[in-house]
Amino acid sequence: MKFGIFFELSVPRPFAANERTVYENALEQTRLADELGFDQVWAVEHHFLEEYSHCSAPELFLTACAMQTANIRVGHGIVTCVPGFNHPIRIAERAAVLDILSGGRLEMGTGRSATWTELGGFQANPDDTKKSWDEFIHALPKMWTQERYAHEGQFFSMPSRAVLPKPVQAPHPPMWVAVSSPGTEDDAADRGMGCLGVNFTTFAEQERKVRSYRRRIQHCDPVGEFVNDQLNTVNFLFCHDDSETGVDTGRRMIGQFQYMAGQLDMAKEVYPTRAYQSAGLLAGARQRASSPGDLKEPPEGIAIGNPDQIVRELKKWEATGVDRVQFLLNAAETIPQHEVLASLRLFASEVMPHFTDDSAAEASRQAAIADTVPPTATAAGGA
Amino acid sequence: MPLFGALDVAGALSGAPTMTSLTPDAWSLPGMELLQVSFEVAEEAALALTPPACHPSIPPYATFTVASFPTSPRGPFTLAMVRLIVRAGIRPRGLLLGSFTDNPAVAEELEANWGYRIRTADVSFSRRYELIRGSVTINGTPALDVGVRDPEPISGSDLELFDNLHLTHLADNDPVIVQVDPTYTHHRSDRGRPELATYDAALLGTIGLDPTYPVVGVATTADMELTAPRFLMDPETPAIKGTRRLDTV
Repeated sequence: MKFGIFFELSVPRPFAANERTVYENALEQTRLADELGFDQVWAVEHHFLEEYSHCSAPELFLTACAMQTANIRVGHGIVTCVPGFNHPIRIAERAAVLDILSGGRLEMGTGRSATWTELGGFQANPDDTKKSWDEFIHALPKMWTQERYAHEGQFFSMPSRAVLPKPVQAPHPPMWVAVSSPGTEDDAADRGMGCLGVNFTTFAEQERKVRSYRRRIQHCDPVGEFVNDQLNTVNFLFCHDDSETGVDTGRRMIGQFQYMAGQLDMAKEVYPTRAYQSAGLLAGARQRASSPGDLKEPPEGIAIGNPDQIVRELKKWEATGVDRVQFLLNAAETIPQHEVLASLRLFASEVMPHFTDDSAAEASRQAAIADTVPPTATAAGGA
Repeated sequence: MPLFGALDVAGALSGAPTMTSLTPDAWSLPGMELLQVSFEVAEEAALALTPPACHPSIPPYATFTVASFPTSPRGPFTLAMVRLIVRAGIRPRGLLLGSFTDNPAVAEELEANWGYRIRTADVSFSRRYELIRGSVTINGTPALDVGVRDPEPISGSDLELFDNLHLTHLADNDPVIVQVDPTYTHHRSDRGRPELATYDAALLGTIGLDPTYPVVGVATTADMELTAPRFLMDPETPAIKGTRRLDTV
C-alpha cells in the first residue's frame, strides 16, 4: 500500500494573516513527506469555501510542491471539469506544464464540485456537471496524445488545434475521478480511471466499492490510452508515541474539519437534482450526528493514535483492497506545525515499514476480482 | 472557527411569542401543498439576523415559503414563512423571521405550541401549469409574491425543506430557540425557476434581509406531520454546547 498527503489548505480567521502561513506549512510538510518516502501529494480545487479550503489554484501550489521535491508525485485532487470553472483546453495545457516541470510526476484527478457555494458562484447548472465532466475527461487524453485535436460537443467545441505542450509521461498522466457520491466508483471503473475516494467511509462500504470497482473495470472502455486500476482513499493522520495524545489531538483535528465542512451549502441540500444524490463528504458526518448541535464520533479506521493503533487500522484498509491512502494532516492549523512534522516522521519510521510488502494488498485485490476475467491492462505512468 | 451570528437577541425577543406548552399533540396535515423559493442574501445583514448560537451558511440564503393546508385540527389554513438558512452546529436549519396565516385560530395554536412568530394576513396559494404562486397581503397591501416558474417533476426524496428554528419565550420568560421539525411524505414534487415579484421587508418584519441572487424554486404536495418540538437551544450559546433534548428539560 502506498501513502500520500492530501491538502484542503484550510485557513483559520483572520484569513489575511494566516493564508501565507498555511501555504508555507503545507510546502514544508510536502518537502518532509518527500524525504520520508511518501508517494504522493494531492491538492483539491475549491473556490469560495471560506475557512474550509483556500486552495483555488492547485496547479500553482502543486508546481511549487514539485519544484521543492525530488520524488513525490503531485496529484490534482481534483480539477473541476465544469464549464465556467475551467476550460478543458486550459486544463490540458496546465496539466502538461505541471507534468513537464515535475519531471513526469503528475496524477490527474478530475471531478465536478459538490457545493452550491461553488456551482452558484460560477453560475454552473448542477444538473449538467456529470455530463460536462464526462465530456471533458474523454477529451483530455486526446488533447495530450494527438498532434492536433478538434471537438464538437455539448459543453465545448473547438476547431483543429495543437494543444501544447504535451505531458512528459507517455502516453499521458494517470487519470482519476473523485468519488463521493454513491455509484461514482462505477463511473470510474467503466472509464478505466482510478478511484479517488474523497469522503470518509466505513470498511464495509469501502469493501463494497472495491468489489464493484474491481469487477467493472475488467470490462471498461478507458477514456485514456491505458487503464488506471488504482483505488485511493482519504484519511486523517496524527501519529504520536502516546496513544491518548495521538487520539485526542487527532479527534480535535477531525472535529475542526467536520465543523468547517458543515458550514458549506452542499448542492444536494440547496438545489434538488438527481445529479447530486448525497451530501458529498458531509453525508456521513450529518447522518451520525444525533442532535442539532452534535458532532459525530470519528468514523472507523481513522489513523490517529500511536503507531501500533495506526498500523492496526491501516491493515484493515489494506484488507478492503485499497491501493493507496492519502492523509489530511491538519485542519485550520489546529495542530502546531512542529507536531504535524513529528507525526509524519513517526509514521514514516514506525508505520510505513509494515506496508512495504504488497502481497497482502495483492491477495485482497485478487479476492475482490475472483469472479472476473484476468486484467488486460494495468496502471502506467510510474504511479 | 466559523463566524457566529451577531443578532441582538434581547431586541429580537421583543414581540416574540410565548410558548405555553412544550408537549402539544401532533397535527396531521394531509394533502398540504407548498412552494418554496430560495434566494442568496446579503452577507452582513444575514449575520446580523443570525443568533449567536448559530453560524451563517456559506453563502447565506433565505427561503420564502407559502403553503396551503386543506385540513387541520383548527380547519383549513394557509401559511407563509420567511426563513434565513443558518447552521446549528453543522446542521442546516431555517431560522424563522416571520410567518403569516389566514386562520386566527391556527395562529394562536402555532404560536402557543410551536413558537411561531406569526400574524394573520391574506395568504394565497395557487397552482397553474406554468407557475405555482403564493402571496401575502397585509391590510390590503401586497407584501410578498413568490412563484416557481415552469415547474418540472422531481423526486420528493431530493427535496430538503430543513427544520425550523423559532426564537421565542417559554412560559417562565426564558428566551429559547425551539426546533420545529415536521415530517413529510411527498406525493408529488416539482422544481422550477424562482420568482420574487414582491418583497416588502418592512411589512413582513424582515428588515435587513436583502435577496440578491436566485437559487431555486421547489413545490411539493405532501402529508405533513407537525410533531411536538424535540430540541431547545440557548440563543446565546453555540448550538453544539447549548442544545437540550426536550424530554430531558
